[in-house]
Amino acid sequence: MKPPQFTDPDFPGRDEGTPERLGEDLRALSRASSRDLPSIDHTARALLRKAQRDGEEGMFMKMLRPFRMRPWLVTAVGVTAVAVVLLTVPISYTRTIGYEARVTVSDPLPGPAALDKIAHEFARALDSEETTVHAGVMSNRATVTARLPVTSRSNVEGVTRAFAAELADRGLTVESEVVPLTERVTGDVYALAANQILEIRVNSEGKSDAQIAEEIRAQLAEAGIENAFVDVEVGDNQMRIEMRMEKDGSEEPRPIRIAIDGMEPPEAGEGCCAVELQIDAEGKTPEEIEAEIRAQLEAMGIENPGDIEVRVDENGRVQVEIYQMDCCPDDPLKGAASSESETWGQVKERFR
Amino acid sequence: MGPTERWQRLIELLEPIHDRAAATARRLCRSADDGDDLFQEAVLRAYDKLPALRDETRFRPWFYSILLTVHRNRSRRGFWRRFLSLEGDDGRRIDPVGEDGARWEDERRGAERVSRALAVLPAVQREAVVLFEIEGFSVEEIAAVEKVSVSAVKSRLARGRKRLRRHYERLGFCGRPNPSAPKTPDLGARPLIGAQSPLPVLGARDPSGRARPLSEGETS
Repeated sequence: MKPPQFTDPDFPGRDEGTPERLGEDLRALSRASSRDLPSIDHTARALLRKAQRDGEEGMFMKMLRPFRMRPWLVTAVGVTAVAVVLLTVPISYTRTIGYEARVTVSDPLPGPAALDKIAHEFARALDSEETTVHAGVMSNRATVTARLPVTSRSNVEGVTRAFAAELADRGLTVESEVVPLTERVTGDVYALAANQILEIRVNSEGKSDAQIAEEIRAQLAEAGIENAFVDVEVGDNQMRIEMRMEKDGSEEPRPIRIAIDGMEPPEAGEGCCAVELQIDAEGKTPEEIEAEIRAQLEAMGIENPGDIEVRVDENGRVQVEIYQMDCCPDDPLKGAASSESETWGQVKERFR
Repeated sequence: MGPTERWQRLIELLEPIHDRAAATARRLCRSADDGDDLFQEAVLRAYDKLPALRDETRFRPWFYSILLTVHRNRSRRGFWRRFLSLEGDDGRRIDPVGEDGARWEDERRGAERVSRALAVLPAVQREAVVLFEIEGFSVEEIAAVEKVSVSAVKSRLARGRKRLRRHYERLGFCGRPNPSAPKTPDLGARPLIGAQSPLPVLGARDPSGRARPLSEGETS
C-alpha cells in the first residue's frame, strides 16, 4: 500500500517531520465513521418514530423542550432561582448581642448596703450608659451582674478583672467572669454576611500609639486572628492605622470595620464637619474679612484655624481659602479636611 | 406540496448523498450517536425548509449548509450543557471494525484520538478541516456551503490544522515542521487524505489536481 504523499506545506512530508500519525488517524476516523452507517430507510423510520414520540409526550416533557433546546436558559433560570432563595429564604444563625460581666463575692458576704455600693461602683467602672446592673445573694455568694451591649470584650474583661482585684484588695474573696450574650436570629444571607463583619472598637483617650495598636491586636486575636501586625501613628489631624495579617488558607478573611472613640474613619474626601460663618463682605477689605472670619471661628472655640487667605478678584468677587483648619475642637478625632478652597459664591451658597 | 409529498421528495433528493452526509455528521461529532442525532436534526430542518429550495440540482450544498448550521447550534448548546445538563452523555464512540485484533485496536485508538483532537477545535474550524481533509471538498465548495469567503475558509483551515498539529505535538506524535516550508499554506494543495489516499472511501481529484468528492459508484 503506497503511503499518501504530503505536499501541503502546512503539513510537510513524512521525511521532513510529517505529522504522519495525524494523517493515519484521519483515515482511521474516515473509515470508522463510514462503517455501519444507518440506511436512509433507517433514518426515515427513526425520524417518524421521533415525530410520533413527540406527539405522544406528556405535558411535562413538552414544557421541558424549550429548555433542552436552550441549555443557557436552564443555567440562567437555575442561577436566578438560587439567588432568590439565598436572598429571601430566612436562615437561622447565632449572633452576639452583648456581654454579661459577673463579679461574685463570697467571703465575707457583703450586706445589702455594701452590695448596693459595689453594684454602683461596678456600673461606674464599666462606664457605659446602656449597662444594666443587678445584684443578688444566693447560696452564700453575692453576685453583681452587669449586662452591656456589644462592645470590646477585652475592654470589658479588663475592667471587670481590675474591679475584682480592687475588691480583693479590700479583703474580699472575689471571682469574675465575662460571658457573651448570644441570640438565635433568623435572617437572609445578606444579614448573615453583615453579621460576619469584624468590628473593632477602640477608646484612644489617654493612650499611646503602642497601646492603641495593642488593643487592636488583642481584639483581632480575640476574633481568632493571631499574630497580626498593627501599627498606629497619631498625627496632628489624623490617625494612621496599618494592619497586616496572614490569610488562613481555609477561610476567607473577615471584613474589618474599625471605630475609634465610637467613630469610624471618614471616607476619602469627607470632612469631619462644617462650620457656618455669617460674614457681610460688602465694602470690606480682604484684611477686614479675614479678621472677621478669625473672630467668628474664635467665638466658636476654634482658636488656631490655620492660614486664611482672602482675595478680591477683578470682578469684585471675594475668594476665601482656609488651610489646615481643625474644625471640630470638641471632637477628639481630628479628621478635618487638610485644605479647603472655595469661592465666596460657594461659601454663601453653602451657608445659605 | 403536502407533507407526504414533501417527505417523499426529500428522501429522493437525500438518497444520493445520504451515506456521505451521515458520515460527515459523525466525523463532526465526538461519538457516532451524536453524529446520527446531528444528521437526523439536519434532515428534519431540511424537511421544514424544503419549500424554500428553488434549484433542486443545488440540493447537496443546500443540505450541507443546513447540516453545518445545525452542527454549530449544537456546539453552542454543548457549551451550556457543561453547566447544567438535562441529558446524559451515553453516546458510544466511533468504533472501527478490523480484520484482526491488533489492527482493530490501532484503528480504534487512532479514530478516537483524532476525534478528540477535532473536538478541541471551534466548530467552524472543525467543519473546514473535516470537509477539506476527509470529505475532499475544495476550498471554494466549503466557502459556498459555509456561506463565507474563500479567504475565510483558508484562514479557518490553516488555524484548524495548526491547532491539530499542536495537539498531536503535545501527544508526542509529530516531528518538527519543515523549516524550509513556505509560511503561507497552499490550500489549493490536496488534502491530507484524498485522491492519492489508498483508502477507497474518500474524495477524488479532478484533472487539474484539485480535490473533489467521489461521485456515485466511483472509487479512488
